[in-house]
Amino acid sequence: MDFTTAIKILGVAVILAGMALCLALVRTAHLSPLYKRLAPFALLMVPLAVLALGNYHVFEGTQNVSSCLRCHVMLPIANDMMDPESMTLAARHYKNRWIATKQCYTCHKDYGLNGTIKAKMDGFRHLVKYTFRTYEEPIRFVGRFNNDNCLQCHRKTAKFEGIKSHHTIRERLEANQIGCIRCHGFPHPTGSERTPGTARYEELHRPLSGGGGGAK
Amino acid sequence: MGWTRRSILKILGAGVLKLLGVGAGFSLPGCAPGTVLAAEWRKGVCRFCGVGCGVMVGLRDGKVVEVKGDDLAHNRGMLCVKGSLLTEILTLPGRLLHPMIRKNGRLEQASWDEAMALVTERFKEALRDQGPKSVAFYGSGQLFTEESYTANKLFKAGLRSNNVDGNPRLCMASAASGYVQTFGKDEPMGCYDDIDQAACFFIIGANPYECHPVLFERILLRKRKNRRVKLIVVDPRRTETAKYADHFIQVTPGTDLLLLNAMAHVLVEDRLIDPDFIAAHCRFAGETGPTDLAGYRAFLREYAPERAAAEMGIAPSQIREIAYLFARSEGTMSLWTMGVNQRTQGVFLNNSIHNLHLITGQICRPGATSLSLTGQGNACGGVRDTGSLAHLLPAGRSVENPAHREEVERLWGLSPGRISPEPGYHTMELFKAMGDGRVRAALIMGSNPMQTLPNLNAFRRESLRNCFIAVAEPFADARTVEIADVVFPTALWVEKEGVYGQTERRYQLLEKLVEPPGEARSDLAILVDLAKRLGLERVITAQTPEAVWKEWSQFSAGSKYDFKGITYDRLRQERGLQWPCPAEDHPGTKRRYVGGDDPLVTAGKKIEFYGHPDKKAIIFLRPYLPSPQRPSAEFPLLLTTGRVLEQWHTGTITDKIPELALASGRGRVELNLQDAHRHGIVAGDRVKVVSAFGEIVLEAVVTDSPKAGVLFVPFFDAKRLINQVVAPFFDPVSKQPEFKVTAVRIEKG
Amino acid sequence: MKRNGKTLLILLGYLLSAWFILDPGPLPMALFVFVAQPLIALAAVLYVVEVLRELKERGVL
Repeated sequence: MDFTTAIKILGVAVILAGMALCLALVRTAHLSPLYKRLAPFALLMVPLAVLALGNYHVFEGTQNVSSCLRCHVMLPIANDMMDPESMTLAARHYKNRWIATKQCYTCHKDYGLNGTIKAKMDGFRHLVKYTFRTYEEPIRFVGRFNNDNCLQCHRKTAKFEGIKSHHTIRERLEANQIGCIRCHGFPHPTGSERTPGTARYEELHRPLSGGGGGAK
Repeated sequence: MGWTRRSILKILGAGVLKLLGVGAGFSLPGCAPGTVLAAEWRKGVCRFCGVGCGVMVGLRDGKVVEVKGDDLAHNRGMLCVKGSLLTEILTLPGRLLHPMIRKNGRLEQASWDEAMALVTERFKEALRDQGPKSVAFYGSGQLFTEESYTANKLFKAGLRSNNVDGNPRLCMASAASGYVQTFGKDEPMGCYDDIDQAACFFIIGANPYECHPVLFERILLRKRKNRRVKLIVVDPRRTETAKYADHFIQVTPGTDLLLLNAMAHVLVEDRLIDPDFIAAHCRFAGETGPTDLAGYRAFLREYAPERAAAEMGIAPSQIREIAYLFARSEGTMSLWTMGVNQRTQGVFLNNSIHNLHLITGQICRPGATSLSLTGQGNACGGVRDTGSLAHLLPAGRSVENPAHREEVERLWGLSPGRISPEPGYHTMELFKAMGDGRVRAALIMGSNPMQTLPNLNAFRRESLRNCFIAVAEPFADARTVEIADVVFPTALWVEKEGVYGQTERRYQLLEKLVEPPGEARSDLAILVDLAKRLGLERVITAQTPEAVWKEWSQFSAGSKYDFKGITYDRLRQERGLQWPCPAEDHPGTKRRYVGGDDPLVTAGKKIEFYGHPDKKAIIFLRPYLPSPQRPSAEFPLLLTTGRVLEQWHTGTITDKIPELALASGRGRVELNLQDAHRHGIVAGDRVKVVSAFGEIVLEAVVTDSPKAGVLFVPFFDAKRLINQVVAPFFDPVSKQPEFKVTAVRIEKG
Repeated sequence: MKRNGKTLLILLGYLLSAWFILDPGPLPMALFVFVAQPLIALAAVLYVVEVLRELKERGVL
């Protein structure tokens, strides 16, 4: 059993326990000694624990590609990533198995607990826009992509170190002023390919076949 | 402990502190104060090379604060390191802010009125004393199309001087002449989309890894996608491009016409040609007149690989191998730049590359084309298409052709005979004429000839003192400012508006997004003002970029360069449009000469080379002649010059950006390990490179990149002017100088 | 708010949290982040306020 599943089970268990505590609390007299013993757990610690476990899933438990695919707007990106003919950065990394699991998350790590506040805000914004369908296609990345998502693997490699301008623009790379993807290719299908009404849009929105291959 | 309220409060407090700690553990750069993000994004085009990448320019408070690639443009959001640093170029130090006039040897600030009045007076004086041939304009492939068009019209129609030339003479003239001779009209027939379809890339005399990086990235993507795609690179240096080659042909400088003819020999002898295609679409022309396939075969006999290989320093088997690949691939795309163009046989080389495509039928289909890579961002649209060279008129016309002159006079509303029938001075002749007094007044715009002309020592200030020179330039430290009598400060990049036309015939609009600094003006504004002061408002009637564009696009209607359908409104919406584009509802032309794509092709025809009256392309029999600069006892090595990734041309912009300057290093001489050993030179030594024309001291870099016997020096460094050493020979047809082959010796210390 | 009110908030929060934990799709995630969290946080805050008030009345704070 993996850690995420264990947290799921723990979460459900804690919720059930919490519900039992609440029910017990309701049956006690207000401010009675029993109430005062139960209340901190029923009204504070267990609920906060449930929030913590739930937030774990928000930030860490949703790292799998299948989780990203729950939002249909990600379908063209996933389809492209798993297309062996595609030359996007995502597809090339996927085809060559340079990233074994959690392919989306690995390059979008700043969504996770150790990521930036901007990424968190982005995540919440995405959630709201998606839930209320107030987004417009093609969706576009707002702000600057965090180069650390690339550099976490590519920094210190011989190829990276061998390019003179990587050294001279290092500060700008670390500050995300120049994006790695600016010189090194389009990571996903371009905006025009993901524009509704185009032939490529239809192609990219075909349902995923075969459970998504090695996507985990 | 028991569950008391005190203990609960302690735990709560600890929990809150933990949460704060986790929060503090989040890194904050994304939201750090001082991170300036754009309030508005506008599309534009990169300032630099002929790839013409689309960019998105981020603005805030009237300033450019961010630049990223435009993912809706052909480059799909990609830029090279220079394009990535476009944010910096408008705030670089050393901008010229005010007009200057040279008084007693020193440039002093003046008003626009004073400076323009002086220039006008000196031009009028020259015209009065010596006539129209005594004035000249030297322009640039980095000016906007509207600026080049206006200058061309002002001088040729207004002042009746055909002395209009520009730095494309130094980079693209051979390619232009090659296309005109072979196909009847200038400009490539293919497009960047051909890269995504090609099965074989033949890169000769080009280093796109460094000089057209975004296109090379596209080539690599094609190779990665399809492992059967082959890359052939022909270059005297093992460049970064060559490192990716499946077949690297390291020829001796100046000998590659032998290679092309040898390949043609193999194709003809081994029956790898397409006789049906040749019969339908081509004819042959020898040195003395028309010929045929048999004549071509006879001509090629002396170029058997076994004969040609030795002089090139390669093996005959290499020639056979690449010839076979060229012919048999599903689509072969040739790409070349200055290694081919900057040669005394530049035009012949261009013809011969086209020959290979024509005799094999590797042309006018997706992935099969001969695509000359343009160096500058607007050499095509601005100078070649507008005819802003000394022998040309707009839209593929020639000053020497009476019918062409008549057409242009009619279109421009001029009286018959207004345009002089005599070609003006081409660049090399122009600067000589400025030295010996044949040209008495000249305007130089957007170019830096005092760093880029070969045999530079011949063009010092003293030698040009007979000529009054006005220079329009954004930067005070450009070497050309040293020869200026008057300096005009000009707007740079998105400080002015206009159209750039890049390699694949795509015209793209750069809108004005910010104000220029100080009193700087656009080059167009300067030309319009000059026209007024010279009493030529009736000639230069269009005075804004859009008005000039409208005039020029309507001028093109009915010609083989018809782009009447490309209006400013469309350019504001689209990511550029490729001409021909004769109507506003026409989507533009990806592949020229191809029926169904090119609107100028006769209905029903699949391919039609309509540039020539008989609608056939010409296969020229081009004999190899060694370069005038050959190794000798006194000068046993061959020098070649070129660009590096991080620097654009003469470095007036890029050398001021620390990240680029640090990455490129300073000008230096790269020499082969063997040559270094023979001369007792180690890396870091100060060495003197000497030719019959000049000498220069440089730091040595010892590498296996240049072939033994070959030196390489980049030309971007304004303090290490390698062109002092470069020989002044040029192609007799295109007049383009041979920067790539100079005989030199190297001396230690 | 009496204990019933607070427990009601928390129970609702638990239901939404359970839905999300078992099925982490976008809608359950949105309900967890924007509904369950505030509900539970509100209940917790109300409890803390109740405790502090009582401690004050008792002269402990």
